[in-house]
Formats: sequence, C-alpha cells, structure tokens
Amino acid sequence: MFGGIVRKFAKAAYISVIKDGDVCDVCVKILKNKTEISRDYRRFSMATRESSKLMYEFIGNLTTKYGIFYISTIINSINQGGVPGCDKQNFQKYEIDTTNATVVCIDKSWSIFASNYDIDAAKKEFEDIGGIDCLFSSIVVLKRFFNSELDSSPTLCILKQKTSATIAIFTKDSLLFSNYTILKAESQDEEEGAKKQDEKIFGDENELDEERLVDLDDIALELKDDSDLGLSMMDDESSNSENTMSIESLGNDLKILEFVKSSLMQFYKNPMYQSSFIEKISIADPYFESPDIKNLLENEIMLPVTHKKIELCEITSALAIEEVLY
Amino acid sequence: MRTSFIKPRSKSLLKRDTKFWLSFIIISSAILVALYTVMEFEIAKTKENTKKATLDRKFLSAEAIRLKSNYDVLKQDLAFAIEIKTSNTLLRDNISNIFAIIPDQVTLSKIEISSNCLVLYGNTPSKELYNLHLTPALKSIFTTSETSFSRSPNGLKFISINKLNKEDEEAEHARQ
Repeated sequence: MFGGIVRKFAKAAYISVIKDGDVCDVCVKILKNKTEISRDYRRFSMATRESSKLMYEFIGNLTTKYGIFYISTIINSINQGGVPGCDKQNFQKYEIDTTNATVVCIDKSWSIFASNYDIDAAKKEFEDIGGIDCLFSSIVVLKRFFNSELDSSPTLCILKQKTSATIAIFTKDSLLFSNYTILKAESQDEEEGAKKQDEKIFGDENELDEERLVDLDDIALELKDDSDLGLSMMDDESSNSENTMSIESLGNDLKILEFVKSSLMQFYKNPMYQSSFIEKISIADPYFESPDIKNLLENEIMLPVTHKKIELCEITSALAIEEVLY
Repeated sequence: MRTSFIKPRSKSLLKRDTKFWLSFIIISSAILVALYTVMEFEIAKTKENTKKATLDRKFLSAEAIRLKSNYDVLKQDLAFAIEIKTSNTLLRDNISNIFAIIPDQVTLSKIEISSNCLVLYGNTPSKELYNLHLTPALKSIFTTSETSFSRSPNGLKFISINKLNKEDEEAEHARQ
C-alpha cells in the first residue's frame, strides 16, 4: 500500500531497445503516475565497439538516474511465430512443438510463440544493461501498427527490418498466417561492420564484387525501368557509398520479395491455412531507405501495396507501458 | 492484456545498497526496541516484586506482632490454667483429706467449700461420736470450728462451719 503510494510519485523509465544489424534504436519514455512527462529517442551505430559503447552508456545513465526502469525489445529469432487460435491442439495442427516454447494468447483468437532457448538468449543479451522486462513478438507490433487499417478481408502485413522480416496475414480480429525470416545474420552484419570500419581507416581498398554489382543492376533494371536508383551514377566516386547502400537495399528487397512469394505459396497451397484471398499488402518499414519495395511488390505480386514508416521503438515502448501498467 | 513473452520484473524504489542499509537500520532498531522492551518488562517485574515483598514484609511484621501478642495471651492462659490445675489438685487433696477424717458412722449430706471456709452437712448417730472422732481432726486443720446439732429420724443432723485465718492459709500454702 505504502509502496503503491510512493510509486505514484516516482518516475519510471520505459526503455525500448531495438537492435537491427548495425543500428540500434533506443526510445525512452518517462512516466509519472501513468502520465508521460518526457521522451527521448536515439539511434546508435553498432558498427564498432566504440559506437556501441555509447549506447550502453546511454542506457546505463538512464538506469542509474531512474530507480524504476523497464527495458523492452522485440525478439529476433527464427524459432518464433504466430498461429490462429489459442488451443494447444492448434499448435499440433500447424506442426509446432510447444514443449520448449512460451506461448501467449492474444485477444483469445490467436497466439504467438517463441522458443524458450531464444527467450533466454535475449535475456542474456540484455543482462549487461540491467536485464529485460518485456520481450515482444514482431507480429504483435505489426498488429498494433496496422490495427486501424485492418478489416474483414485479409491483409498481408510485412515488417521490414535490416536483418529480418516478418509477415503476418491479418483480418480485423484474427491472424491467419505468419512467417519470419532472417535476411542477414548478426555475425555477418558484424563482419560487414568491421569491414566498413577497416575501409574508413585504410581507405576503400576492397571494392565490391563487380560481377555481383552487375547482376543486381540487371535485376533492378528488369524490375523497374524508370527506377530512380541512379545506377548511372555508379561511376561517380562521390556517390559510391550511396550506391552501395542502394544495392544492398535492393538485395534486401529482392529477398523480401522471395519471402513474400514463398509465404503466399505456403498460405494458399497448404491446406492447414484458411486460404482467403489477400486483397492488399502493407509494409511497415522503420528506416524507409528503399521506397522501391512498394513498386517491386506491386509489379510482382499484383496487389495494391502501402508502404509506411513505423516507429518500431515507439510502439514497443507503448506495448511495454501497457504490459507493466495495465 | 499480456503480449510479452516474459513478465516484467518487480521493481524496487530503493537501490541495493540502500536496501542493505535500510534493512540493517531496521533490524538494529528492532533489536534495540526488543531489548528496551525486555528491560522495561524486567524492571516493571522487579518493581512489582519489590512492592510485593514490601507488602509481605509489612504483613509478616504485623503477623509477628499478632503472634507475639497471642503468645503472651496463651502464656497467661497457661499460667492461669496451671494455677487452676494446682488449685484443683489442692482442692481434690483437701476433699480427700476431709473424706479421710470423716468416721464411718458419720454420713455427709452436703459439703460447701470456699477459699477459707468449710461447711459440712450430715447425720451422726450421736453427738459424742462426732465430737470424739471428727471435731479434733477439724480443729487441727481450721482456726475455728463450730458445730450445731438437731434431731432427725436417723439420729442427729449436724452443720459444721470451719474457718481458716488468712495467715494460717498462707502458711499452709507455703508448707505445701
């Protein structure tokens, strides 16, 4: 009782940490008696130890300043997903073994699950900065973000991150299908980060594989003639890094295209899913670095596509606040 | 609604060190309060015992005085009882002596004994027998002995009044 009264006057920090490849978004909301009094947002580069140290310092300062703090993130693991329904029998139907998994029922109509091993790994990852309090599924984040746009007709929602992508087919009230893929492994990303660091220090000695560049160019030109990728500018050394980024982004887009195609194939052909016709595709993109994904999907899948910027960090912290306070 | 795979940990308002010091202070205070309470209790108990002992002492003093007074009364009673016993023994001896000096022919009907007077009522076959056997014995004991006779169907009725002077009585007591 006394603790409850004191808590009303104490400030609590809700820190949301979204690690994605070589960037890490940290979103902080300070609440006092369930009212937000301030917020802060930082994007940290995780390319080098020095830059990632800044992130740890930032969070360390927050945890020292505020006695009560809750750290939340989203799980980045292949052993996760969501299924329609909340019964355990459902999981057997979808050939999912939940023996070593944590299952959470959402809205009494669909469930999310994640491997206990991956949950423990996520907990360990955050041990240095005070431990983790909330671990969300990207499917829940997608549902929250697109909730107002959903109706009775199925919508294919995509959460496009640098290292992973999540697909969830939602109607207003339920989840019909979900899939998750790793676009770029963390270790690979770290290697690239180190490589970039070397380039910064020793100069651009290791040029990208020319053959690979040509292949990606061809694909890009095939998909979109009026593309504004500016591949003609490739010769310009000053725009070399921008072009590299664009090509990387295009590579990711193509991976996502393949992922969407395979997911749709699975959804329509596998009899275990309720194969309703998908009427639109919605993409949630935290970085919005490749606007071509919209055209790419529209041309390839032949469905209307909406592409929106998602404040992943913001949504995660909002979910954490709800999880803790309500 | 739960959406997280893990439950948020319960958060404390206090830091670990603060918790430690606070616990230390609380435990120390609790021990001190407990000690204080125990000592207060012991002091109160001792005070109570002292008060009780004082009352007991007063009561026992009063009791001792009362018992001493009782002892004195009993002592007096004992002395009085001894005196009565002595007196009774003396009286019994005197009566025995009186009966011893009465001759067989004389019959006593009533005896009155006081501290220095003996009155005998009875019958005697003749005045001579009385004067011969009883009068000398009475006269040897008492200072004065007066006897009056009257006729009766069985012979003579007599009343003998025998008195003893104080000095003689004291001398007799001294002799005894």
